[in-house]
This record gives sequence, C-alpha cells and structure tokens, in this order.
Amino acid sequence: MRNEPLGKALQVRKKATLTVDTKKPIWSLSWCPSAQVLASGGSDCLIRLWVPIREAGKQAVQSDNQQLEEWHCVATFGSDMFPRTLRCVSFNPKLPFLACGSFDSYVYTIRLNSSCEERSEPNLSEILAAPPKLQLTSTLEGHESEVKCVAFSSSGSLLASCSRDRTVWLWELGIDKDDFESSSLLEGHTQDVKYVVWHPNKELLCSCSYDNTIRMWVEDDYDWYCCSVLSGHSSTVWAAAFDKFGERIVTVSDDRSVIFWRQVPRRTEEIGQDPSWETICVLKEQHEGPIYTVDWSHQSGLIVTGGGDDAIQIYQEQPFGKTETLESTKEQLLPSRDIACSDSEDSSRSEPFTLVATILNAHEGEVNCVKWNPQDGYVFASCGDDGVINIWQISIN
Amino acid sequence: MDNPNPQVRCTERRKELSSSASLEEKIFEAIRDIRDPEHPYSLEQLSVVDPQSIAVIQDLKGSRLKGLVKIEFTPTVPHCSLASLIGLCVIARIRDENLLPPGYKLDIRVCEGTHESDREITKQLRDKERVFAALENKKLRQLIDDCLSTCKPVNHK
Repeated sequence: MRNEPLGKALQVRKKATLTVDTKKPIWSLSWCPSAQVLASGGSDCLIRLWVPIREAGKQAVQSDNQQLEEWHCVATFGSDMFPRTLRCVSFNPKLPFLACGSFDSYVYTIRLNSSCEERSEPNLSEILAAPPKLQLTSTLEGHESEVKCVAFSSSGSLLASCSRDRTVWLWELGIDKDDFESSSLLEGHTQDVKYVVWHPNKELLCSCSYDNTIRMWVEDDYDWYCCSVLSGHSSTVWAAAFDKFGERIVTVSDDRSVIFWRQVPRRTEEIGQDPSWETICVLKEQHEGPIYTVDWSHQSGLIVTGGGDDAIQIYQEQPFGKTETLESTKEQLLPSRDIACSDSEDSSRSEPFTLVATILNAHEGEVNCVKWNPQDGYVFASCGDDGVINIWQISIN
Repeated sequence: MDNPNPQVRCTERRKELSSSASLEEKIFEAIRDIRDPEHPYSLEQLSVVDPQSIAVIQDLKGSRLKGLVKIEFTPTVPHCSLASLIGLCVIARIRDENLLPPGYKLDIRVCEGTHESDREITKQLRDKERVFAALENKKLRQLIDDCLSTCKPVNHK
C-alpha cells in the first residue's frame, strides 16, 4: 500500500481491516448515528454488523496513534432470506431500523435490537453475551428491477429508494412506527436511478442517474415534484453528498469528475419559485476510472471519494472558498468558476476545493463505498470489490 | 433473427498455449470459441472478434493502473439486438477464467461505427453495477452459459 499525502499537513493511516471470508464484493456501508455500529451489505447477500471492541480489562493506550483498532463482526443476518446482492444498506437516523435495497427489486426494513449503542466503550464479552439481533419487519414491493440505493430522511420517517426501473419511491413510516408504506412515486429520470440522498435537515431529496443528471425533489401539498435538474456531468452520476447545512452538494461520476454545486440564494421577491443550483467548481480527471462514491463529513467538512482505480481521495475546502465568503461577495464566484475549467498551472491553488490526500491501492479492487464516521470527521470507512472493509484515520500535523 | 445469413469464416484449430503466451493470446483463446447467441458459430467465425480486437496496455507511465485490457468487438449487423449479450459473454468468460491479473482493468466496447447504438451498448458494458446484476440474474446467466459452452467443432478446419 502506498500512501501519498499531497497536502503536507494531512496524513491518512489505515486503522483497521475487516475481512469477510467469502471475498465477494461489498457494495455498501452505513454507520449507525452513534457510530458504535457499522453495517455492511454485499454480494454474499448478507447484512453484517461490525463493532470496534476493546477487549475486557485492556486499557486504552494513551498514545494510540499507531495502534490498530480491533473490529468484530457481531451479527450476520439474512442467510437464505435474500436471493440477490444487497446493493445498499442504510441506518435510520432516529429509530433502531435498517433499510436495505437488493438486486431482487425489493426494499427490506429490518429492526435492530441492540445494546451496543448504549455503551460508550463496548467490550467483546459483553457484546457476545448479548449480540445485536436483527428482525425483518417489512418487504416493500414496488420496484420492477434492481434497487440501487435506499436512504432515510433526517426525521427518519421517510424512506427513499431508487432502481434501474428509472423511478424513485418514497415510503412513509406507519403510525405504529413499525412498518413503512408506499407514499409517492417520483418519475422523471430517463434511465437507471443510481443514488438517492436526503438534505441534512429538510425534506428535499436528491437523486443521481445513468441519464447523467441529478434531480432535486420536494413536496408541495402532498405532491412530490422535481424542482431542479442539475446538468454538468457527461456520464452516469454515481453518488452525491450534501454539506452540513445542505446548501451545497458534491457529485461524482463515471466521467471521472467531481462537481461541487451550491444553491442559488432565493431573493425575497421570488417567493414561490424553487431554488436553483449552480456549479461552484468542476474538478476533472480526478480518478483514473469511474468515481463510484463520495461522502462529505458534517463534522470536519472533509470530502472523500472512491473509484474504479482502487484509490481513495480526500478533498478540503480552501478558506476563501467558504460559503460565507461566496454569499457576501457573489461577484468573486465567477472568476473561480472559470479557472476551475481552465488548465492553467495555478488553477489548483485557486479552486475552492482541492485534493489534499490520495490513497493509491486503498483496496485490491474497485472502491464501492466510502462513509465518514458521523461522530468523528477524521475517521471514515471504505469497502470494495475485494470483499474488505477498511477503517481510515486522518491526522493533521 | 437479426442476421439470418451471416458470413462465416474458416478458423484455425485451437492452439495449445505455451506458458509464455502473452495475455492478448490467452484472452483471445478464451473468447474466440464463445458461441454467438443467434448462430451455431463462434465469435471468431463470425468475425465478431479477432486477435487484433485485444490490446493489453502495461506499465502505463504515470498511471495508477497496473494494466488495461482493451477489447473491441464488432456485431455482425449494425442492428444486432444481442450485442450487449455478446459483451456480457466476453466479460463472464474473462471473469470465470480469472484472466485479469491483479490490478488490471477491463475496457470492453463495441467497435465504433459498427452498431447503430454502439455508444449506448459500450456505456451499458462499462456500468459495473448493471453488468454485475446481469451476471447474477439466473435467466440471463443461463443464456450466457449456453454461449460459453464450447462451440461445435465441426466448423473448424
């Protein structure tokens, strides 16, 4: 493994490697809100729950900078239940639920009975004495072909799913808080919908597609409609992530580019009009292959991407590129947009977002998913076609 | 049938590959006998692939990839509805026989200008998710396996 931190101040270290004996591709990861549990889903058609564990009696080493963390798979769920690849797993942010989307066209919701979350420092013997239990609560039928992604809204009461059938479905939590029921069908994309992600605190949904576009969806009087279409990528858009406030979004694509967008502030006289989105910067040729995954830490503000070149990259916002600056001096945005598209040598220094670290050979195969630890903006997990999950630690010197 | 009367070419007998055979040769040997989904002939007999269809690029300067295997195939007719299936068969054969060395990537495409929707098919075959789902689909996998079972040898001379 070669680590090549480009920004001198930032270093990335592999903190743990979680292996599955099947070696089949792992497609998706999700942290539970407390970050005590990491769920994975993949082509072995199982959901696995992983927990970082300190063995009983062992004291935490103070200078644990180089220490490897020990992780254990504490639950395996779904044997003989899921006939096809589990493409996506996602924790509910408020309730002890998981949703998963499968190539078998179904969305499953699964209840998690666990004490892992309540302990600040779980130890192995305690967890093994009472391992987390998973229970299938519903099988949601609606999609006509492979489900690609599932995501819960910030309130936890809406679940979005998308599929090769070109649609996005919304499912609403029932009154008994135990079951989800279909509530809306969002049509507009002309090809597979690859990814869905919710605004961090509003009921605004973003979807990414094989049709090269990104769509934003909102509700008006119980009716969901597409309020903007973001065009800029020249091939499949694989994933997107909102920043902490939901004012900006980053998208990644088969075209190897990373695009940052921001919501154009709505002027008061335009009430009733939906906000539109414009590009902040376009970073081209970022990976040497399709870029499959992106996540934006709401803790540290760092952005991580993973791609078909087996590499992981980390981006940081430059001080002058902060939203506040852009908001107050709107005119200054334009030059930076132009520079972003030019090849001038100084362009990287002028970008509002720049590459600060590259991990080559992060996996022995394509990187399918990267996810920041929701409690620690300097830790993220990644998984790939090699059937391995890696946990990474960033340190800033 | 999209192409009821395809041109059939005589092909050489299957070679015994020496251990020093190049990756191009190994891949060509592995895919030449794949049967066309529509005809009782091999991809080589129908000139869908030939040795020149395969290019292996190694030691790419400044590249993150250890190597890249490029395969271009030519559907027998520009409206061939089974072109994606042919592509899937080639991918399946290369995966089944584990022909890609570690760190190598496969770039498979329809030869430009030889199919009315060459770009669409190439995009489909580049989409790892679609390809994975297709190869996992039992019905489709049966069709692919039928094409992968060795071609009838009677047409070899």
